[in-house]
Amino acid sequence: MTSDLYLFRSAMRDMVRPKRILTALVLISLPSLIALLFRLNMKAANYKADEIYASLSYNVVFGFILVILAVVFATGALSQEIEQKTIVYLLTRPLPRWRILLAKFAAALVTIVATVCFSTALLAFTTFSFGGANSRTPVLTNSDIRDVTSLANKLKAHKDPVSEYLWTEKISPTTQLMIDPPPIDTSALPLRALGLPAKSQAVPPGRIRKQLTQELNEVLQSEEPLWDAERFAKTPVSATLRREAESNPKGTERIRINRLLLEAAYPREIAHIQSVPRLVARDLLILPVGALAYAALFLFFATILKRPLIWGLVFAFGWESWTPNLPDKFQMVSLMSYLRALAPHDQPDAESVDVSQIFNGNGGEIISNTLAWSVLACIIIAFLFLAMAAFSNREYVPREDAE
Amino acid sequence: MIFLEHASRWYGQVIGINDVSCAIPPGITALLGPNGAGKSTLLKLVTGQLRPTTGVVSVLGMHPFANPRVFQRLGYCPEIENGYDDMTGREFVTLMGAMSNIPSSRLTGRVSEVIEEVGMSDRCDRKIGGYSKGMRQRIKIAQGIVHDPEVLILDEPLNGLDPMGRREVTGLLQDLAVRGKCVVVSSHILYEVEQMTRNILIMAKGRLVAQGDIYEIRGLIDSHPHRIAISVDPARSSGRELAKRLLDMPYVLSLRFDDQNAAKMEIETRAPELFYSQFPDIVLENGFVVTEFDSPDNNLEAVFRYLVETPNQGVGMSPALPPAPARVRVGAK
Repeated sequence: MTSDLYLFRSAMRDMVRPKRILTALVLISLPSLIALLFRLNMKAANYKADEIYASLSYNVVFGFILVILAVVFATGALSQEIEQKTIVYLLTRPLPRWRILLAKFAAALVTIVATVCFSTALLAFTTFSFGGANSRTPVLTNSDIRDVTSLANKLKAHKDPVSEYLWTEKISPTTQLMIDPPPIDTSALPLRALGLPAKSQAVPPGRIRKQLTQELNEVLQSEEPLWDAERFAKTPVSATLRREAESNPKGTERIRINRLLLEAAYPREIAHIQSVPRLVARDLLILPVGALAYAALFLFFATILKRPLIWGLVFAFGWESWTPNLPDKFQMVSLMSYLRALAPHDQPDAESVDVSQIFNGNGGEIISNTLAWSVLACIIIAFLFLAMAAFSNREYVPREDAE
Repeated sequence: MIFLEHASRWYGQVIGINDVSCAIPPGITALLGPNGAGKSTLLKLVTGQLRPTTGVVSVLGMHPFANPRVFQRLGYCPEIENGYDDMTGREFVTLMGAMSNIPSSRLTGRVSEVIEEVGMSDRCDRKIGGYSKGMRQRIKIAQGIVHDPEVLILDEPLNGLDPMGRREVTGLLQDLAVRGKCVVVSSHILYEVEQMTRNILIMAKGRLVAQGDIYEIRGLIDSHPHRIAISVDPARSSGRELAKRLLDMPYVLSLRFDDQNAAKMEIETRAPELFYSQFPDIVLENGFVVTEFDSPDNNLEAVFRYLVETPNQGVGMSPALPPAPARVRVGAK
């Protein structure tokens, strides 16, 4: 145990060299600096803390800092010693090789996690502090609709008064068609002859989700009050909320009340408004999981490849940034898709529709939370195990041609 | 304590060591050979960094590859120069000691002890990055012996040491040997090794070409014709005159002039020691002005070449005549 501690400590010392600290500081402050630029250059009325936070967290923290740190530190811990051949000092010690590897891995992981978490905390502070949090609106985001299929089914059936009201008065005919496509006499179509399934007519849930988010937000923001004692008679509404709804407030407060009413009507389908600490806490929980998964993968690279850094970078910025945009189930080959499923960050809706949106709306339906957790757990365990096995069996002595 | 049985190791198409069998007893054993002979490969097999491609390597009765039980009783001082530059010598040895399962209560004391043994007490709190080659060698030896191993393997430990340091390290290793440890030292400098031990292994081109007592091997080497190159100043002395005198000596077997330079000649003798002792007299008596005096055979490489080029040469057998040199070489490396 002492030996592991000493090794961990020396590996940590290696991580906190001045040069590395400087890099870490730059990375920690990068998203906050961008956020600060947005805050300073935007009119207060246009500033939306949620969007800035989500966008920077999604693109910069998850998409860049986490991955680059994992590549550099997880491969660096080992490959530097292999390159400089100092690994022989460790490999000729009475310590099983896998323990040497784990000590190094632990040091790299601590560094990565500390850096990404600081970065996120600082980003949250920059975006939400000093009144930034007041700019949050209680309208729905894509990921607030947790179960779009169930919501669509409830609306389609419109058996309860709230669904009845929404379906008949608020949901546009287009959306209704999307949710409830008219049966097509497929036997008449040439497609049928080709043996293609009629199911191909179904609208992908991502599209429906987007459509519903938009239209429900119109309901939330409309002048017409959503509250109606009769309409919500069957819905469990707390006394406070009832009182607030009856007072018929205006502005943001009304939107908030409407949102709470919707949540009460569809408790399983629509998520609660996330408080800032919870939003950040979720990221702070998922980032270490991501760090663990990426670091395990890149550690494995370092144990078997000659140039792990290069391959790691190719994987991180080639594979990982490209495959999440693949249509449908193909995006399941990317590690990042699972992390984003666990910590969804809605992108501010751009007017233009990018390629991925043509293929499918959002990754949400494809990767469920359970699937994401299980896949990530498998990846972590499998690659750590592979790395330990490879490290225990491979020879780390370069042939000396010069000898 | 160390056994190799028909051990071979290839690196792809290249042979590192080829069919080596030997047993290394306690005491100091020197592993000699020119660069590229396979010394380091042999040591890496013994220290469990490499696996033999074929054959068996056994240390203290166990397979050494990645075997913690072997490393608990084996110390290794690698050849590499760089590494851990940010640490002080003491921190480095402490880390290595901790990784060798020395209990923390005894660690500090033991580290100071070995640092004292290698003569680094006054410099051990400076960063390794600022160490000279000799200081690095000493600290490397300290980390090798910190856990008091039964087997100590050192790859070129005398490299970079000054004569004083060489004597100290030699003394240190001899102390260990007296205490019954098995010490293996690799080197490509014969004379370095002569002061340390009599038990040597000689490798060349991946093969073990001789093993045993150094004096027997030495004698075997000395009785083979020895070449000596001599140049005179052509303006002040006659090469022909000197050649005549030299050929008069009974133990000079042959003499030939250099093709391009009549003032340069090379002789062959079976008694180099005798020749060396009498040559100055001849020069002084006749007033020759000698500008160059060199023996292409008086280095380890020539010895190895001799041993390698002589088939079936074993210690204790009467030496066969070596094949004639294909080409006269003037000047040693």
